[in-house]
Amino acid sequence: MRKFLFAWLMSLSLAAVPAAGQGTADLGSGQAPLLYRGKLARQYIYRFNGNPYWETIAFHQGDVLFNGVLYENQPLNVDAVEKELVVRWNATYVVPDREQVSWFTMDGRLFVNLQYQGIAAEPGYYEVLHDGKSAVLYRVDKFPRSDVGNHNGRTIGYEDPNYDQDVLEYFHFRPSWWILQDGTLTHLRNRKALVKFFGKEGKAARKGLARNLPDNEYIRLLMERLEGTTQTHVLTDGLVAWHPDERADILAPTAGIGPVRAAYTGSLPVGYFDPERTESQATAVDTSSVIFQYRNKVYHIGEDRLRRGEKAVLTGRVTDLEEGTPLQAVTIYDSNTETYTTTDAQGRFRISLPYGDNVLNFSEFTKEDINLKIVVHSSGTLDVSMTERVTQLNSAVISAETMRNHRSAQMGVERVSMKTINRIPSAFGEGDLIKAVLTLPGVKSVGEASSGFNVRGGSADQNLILFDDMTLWNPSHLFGIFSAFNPSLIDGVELYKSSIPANYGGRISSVMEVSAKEGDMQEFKGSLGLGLLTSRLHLEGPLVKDRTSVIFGVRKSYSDWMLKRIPKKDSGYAGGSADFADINFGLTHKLGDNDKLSLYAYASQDDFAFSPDTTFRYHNLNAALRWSHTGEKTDLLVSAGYDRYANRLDNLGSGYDGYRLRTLINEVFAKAGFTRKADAHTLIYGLNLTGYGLDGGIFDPLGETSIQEADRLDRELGLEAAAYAGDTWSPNEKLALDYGLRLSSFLTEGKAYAFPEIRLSGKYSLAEKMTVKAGINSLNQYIHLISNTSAISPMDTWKLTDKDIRPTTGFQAAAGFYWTVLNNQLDLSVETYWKSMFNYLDYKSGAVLTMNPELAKDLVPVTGKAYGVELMAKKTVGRLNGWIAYTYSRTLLREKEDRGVNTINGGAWYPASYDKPHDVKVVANYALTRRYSFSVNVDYSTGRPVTVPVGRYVYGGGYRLAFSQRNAKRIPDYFRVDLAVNIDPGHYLRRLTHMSWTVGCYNVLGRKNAYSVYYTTDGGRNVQGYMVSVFAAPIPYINLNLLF
Amino acid sequence: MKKFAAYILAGCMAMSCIYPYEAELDSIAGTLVVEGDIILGDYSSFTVSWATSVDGVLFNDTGFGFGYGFGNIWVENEHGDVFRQEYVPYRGLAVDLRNAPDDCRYRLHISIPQMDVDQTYKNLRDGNGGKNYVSSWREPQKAPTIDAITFEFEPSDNPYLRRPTGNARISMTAPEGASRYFRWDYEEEWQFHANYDPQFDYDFENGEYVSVMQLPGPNYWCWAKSYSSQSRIAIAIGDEKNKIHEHKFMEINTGTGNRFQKRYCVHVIARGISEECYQYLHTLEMNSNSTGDLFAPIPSELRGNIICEEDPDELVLGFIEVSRTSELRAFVPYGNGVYLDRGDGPLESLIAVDASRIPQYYGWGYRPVVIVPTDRGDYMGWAPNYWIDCRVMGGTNVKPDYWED
Repeated sequence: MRKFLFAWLMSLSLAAVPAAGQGTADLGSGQAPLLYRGKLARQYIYRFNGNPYWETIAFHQGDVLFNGVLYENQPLNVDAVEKELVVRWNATYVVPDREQVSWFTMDGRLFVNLQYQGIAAEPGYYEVLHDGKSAVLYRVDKFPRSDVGNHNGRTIGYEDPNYDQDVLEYFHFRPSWWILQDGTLTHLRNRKALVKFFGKEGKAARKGLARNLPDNEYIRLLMERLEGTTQTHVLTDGLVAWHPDERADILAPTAGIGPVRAAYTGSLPVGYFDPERTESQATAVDTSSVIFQYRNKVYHIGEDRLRRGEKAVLTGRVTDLEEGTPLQAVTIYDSNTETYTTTDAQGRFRISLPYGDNVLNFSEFTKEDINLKIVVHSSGTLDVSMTERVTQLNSAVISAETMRNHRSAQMGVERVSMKTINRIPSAFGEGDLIKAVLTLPGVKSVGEASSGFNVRGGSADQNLILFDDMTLWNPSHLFGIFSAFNPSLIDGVELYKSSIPANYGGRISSVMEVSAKEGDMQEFKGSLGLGLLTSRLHLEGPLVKDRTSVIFGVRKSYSDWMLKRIPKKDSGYAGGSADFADINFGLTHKLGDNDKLSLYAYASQDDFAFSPDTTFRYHNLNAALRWSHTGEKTDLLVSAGYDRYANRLDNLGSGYDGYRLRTLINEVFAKAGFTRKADAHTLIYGLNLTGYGLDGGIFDPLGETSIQEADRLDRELGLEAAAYAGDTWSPNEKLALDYGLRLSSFLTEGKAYAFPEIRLSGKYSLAEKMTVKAGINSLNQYIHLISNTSAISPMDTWKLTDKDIRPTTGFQAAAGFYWTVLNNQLDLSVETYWKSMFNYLDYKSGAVLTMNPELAKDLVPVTGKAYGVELMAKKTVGRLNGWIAYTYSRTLLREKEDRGVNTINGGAWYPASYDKPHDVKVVANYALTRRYSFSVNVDYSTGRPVTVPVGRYVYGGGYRLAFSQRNAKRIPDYFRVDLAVNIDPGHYLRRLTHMSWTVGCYNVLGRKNAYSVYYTTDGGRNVQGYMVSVFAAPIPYINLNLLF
Repeated sequence: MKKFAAYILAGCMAMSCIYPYEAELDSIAGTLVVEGDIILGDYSSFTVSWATSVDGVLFNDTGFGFGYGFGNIWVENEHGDVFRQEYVPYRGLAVDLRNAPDDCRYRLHISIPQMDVDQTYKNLRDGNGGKNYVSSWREPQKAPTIDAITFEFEPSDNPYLRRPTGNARISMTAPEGASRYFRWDYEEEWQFHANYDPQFDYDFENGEYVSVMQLPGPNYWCWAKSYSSQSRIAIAIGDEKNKIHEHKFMEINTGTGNRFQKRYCVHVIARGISEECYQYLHTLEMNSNSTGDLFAPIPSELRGNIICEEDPDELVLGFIEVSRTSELRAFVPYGNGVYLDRGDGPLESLIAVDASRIPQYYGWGYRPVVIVPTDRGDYMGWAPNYWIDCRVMGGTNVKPDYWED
């Protein structure tokens, strides 16, 4: 009951607190005094634990000297987050321009703006504790803290008896004391420092002072003892109108315009302080851009130009209140007209509303619903910030597809936030993006610690992995144990398995779009992660506040250093090495309110060796420049960049036969994409250009004694160009259609290809939370991974489509049924698909893939078909949440060309090397308490197909091995259970750093899961089979994450 | 902590993560294996054997011959001509195709008798109730022209200490309209001599040593051959689609044995093969050579072009091709220290034989070779036969007609 009352009280009090964002106060009718004509105060959601103000949320009576005018008995408070004075006027909370504020009082306590007094100090206000020969000042800075990705997903908060146990946000509190002496301001960490500042006198003065006094009281008393009564007041002597006898000379506040001492630099329009400015002008300014302020407020949109029955267009952007990031797939629903729309990836929306009163509902599953009363006068803008929904276990909130499943025509789209990723146990404890994606239905890998993944029957090279528009060709480190993405710098990932939008192309199975974080525009912060094999550091912050930010991250393994310390004779491991590092750098600059420029760069390098004379190296290098423009009707995103992937094999051999073999991919790209919203339509259109320069093999002698001859395959060049257009049409809430066309083309030496690609999907809601969907799409792929191993290996090469190798074409049809039950807590879904692949490349038996100038001769174009059913039950809220997924799928290939006895398996269908029919995944999180949570991950799948020897015979002068038909056998089934305990930080509000721990065990059952099975033979005489198990034992791990 | 982590990493990366694995595999034990090609214009030989399981025993494992002569084998062409396998002197069982025409397709028939381990068979070539196998019809492949066989040696500063090494390369041209896939076998031939050329003989009638009148003796110089165990295959690539140019096919170490004592040549017998045959042989080679590596190419089943007429689904191993052959012989030229004759064997290897035991030594195969002067006087040095008769070392003392001095 007490909690309820308290929450009610808080909601009442804070519902009236102005909203965040820039804008101007709603003046209502009449002209307000200048003090109240600043920007609106920032609103803080009631779930914040603590408050953003100097002390309490209650407003105090006080006087303000503003712009040379004394305003007496005003309700005041200090926003210690924004370092602003907040005054309440009617029901509005306004921030007076700090440059105009000289001083103010609250309940008789004096606060001064030192900068206004010409003293070098931090922006903001200081409370005067003592004013004599020297002045002692007190300052409060607060910082809102909430969960962010680089905390490894653990939200920072504490249990407060006055709140529900799930309070997550709080205000970090940093008090500081300062002494002003001889015009110099000196920082004092605490009261001891003050004592020390005055030396022996200070120590003498403190004698007898009660130690249990509050700091400020202690300081006041101490200073009185030190300085006593003095005629000198270094601060107040200079304060205009501080002394009562001066106040008569000060202008009294009026509704008129007072003297303006400096131009206002906030968001007020030019001419705002112009005495000639009329009320109508003010109204016009105010309504052109309304910022969401109060939930119960009535919003007036536009000038009164329309007549009843006419319609206007409301546009805007929905963002996350805490993080400021755009929210996608928020549903905006007008109950009067039953019109609805959803926000796009940039959080933009556009909805047509009739003149007059409307009620708009903003809903997104993980956010609190918002209902806004809108009075439409003409077209206008409304920006809305949404807060995260309070659930019992926020720490592991899944970015659920609930609302999207029922309202979007898209299907087969998975979104995973870093919070979720970090909760999924992984080997060595570091949150791993790709390993998390692998827990989703329809996504499989050929084995643990292997690079790449397979989506709905597609091979590893049929996935386009985009990292802020840049292409990552090898997304792994250390043989696939770690993904290439530093978890501290990732916002989240989207995986398109089926309804691939028209703006993507070039791969026929999936698109994985990884979003990089942007640097914080407000404050500097960072994180440090320590694991068993890697450490990572990330820093971010503003270069120019609210304008330019930077983010930087580095990750380094020390596996090599550790390996060198292993006694070789004990481990059986001699001469091997493994090491990697990656670095990220991002720079974001706001060109204005609607334009943003961002630069992102990524580089990584892996080195490893199985023996001292053979070393491997590969590296990714990516850079992209992006410009985004948000227009009133049309948004634009332009990007250009460079991607490079290179690998290298150094083989010293016996000296005379040492060689170095390299392959290289260079890619340059330019993309321009437009998004236009019009009523029930969201149009996208644009152009993509990608140029490839590919070196399939560069062979050089290695070492002075090597007699190898240098060789180099011809460089392949290609240009992939595509134009696309698509539309999302949502005529009503039940029906939505997504359709598009992409004209895809590829130009290479002596050959050009062009294909139209279709994208079509639709949904129909049978009931509010029961939806069916279906869709088809076609795609083409012009670059192919050349590898006759099942996973992406460091020595794989890529091959462009040419006159001999045709593009791979894929068609997919899919259908799904989605049902949300148990009071929106449980999402049930069934998706089924059929995929056909043409000109998919398989390999002739014994194909030679390296330094083969006639590689096409060793490749076999085959036809593929993949089909499957994916069942999923996902619980999104509650102490226990997670999902259970079962997938039945098959991927079969067939060589249609008759090559006689060499036709693979005689021309019959055969399973692809990654065909694993049964797949069960369980991901569950259980919150024991607010701080302690428990995670479990279960993974079962059928063993993948392999080709194994089945006999021996003599032929051609030697012993021969006879092998089974291709992929006719399977390695043992895969089964793994992982456990983890996550310990979040405790109640340490005053600390600058926060630590969280993850303790877990990967493969807790210690099962020897087979990664691969292979056979050795001594010239065919004796054959021995071996099973490679990457993690053949339980892998305990501990991971420390430090946030600062 | 670091040690703990290091061991975990090592445990995952080191050999301890690799375990012996025994899968329950289907076995192809008993699968028929047929080897041989239909060579037009020559004799053709075929062998029949059976595969065994991965851990089974093959005939070759026990050192016995295998499969040779089993079953009834004949070659048939589209004209209805039948060429049966017969015994051919110096060749064994072979099919005489010396007069077979080129203008039709050929195929091979094999009839394997039903055999019972409790029965004794006089003629295993009779297909008494057994199975009949037949290869696919094949067009005769034209023989390529061997343009050249060349040698390349790395000269040695001091050939006495370090013998030159090199390689042999072949250039071939396929006739117009013929396949650009080549297969060839080769043999090495060389002239060498025995360790000693005896200067004396023993006259039993007179009981004395007599000088040999003719030197060198008839068994001092010999000519030997060595066949390549595996055929070589190549594909014509590049601008000229019907040629292979200086394709390296063998390494030569002049320090090996006595090959480069006097004269050495390489004899190549080449034939054109179809792409299908080439792929088959190529895969066969790769399947045998590329196991045991995580990044090894994916092997696969090799189903030949022979089917069982009674059970077409039965797996039969082997590929029968129809070809004509061409041949070329090339001698390694003198120079660059390639040839080195170190002369006769060392004197220390000679023994003195008591006169009373001379007949006994003769019986053991010893022969008098040379008079050895010592401090105690001269004595007759004797050597075993295999040092003085080059034929015993593997060769013939009949000089081939084509041999160049």
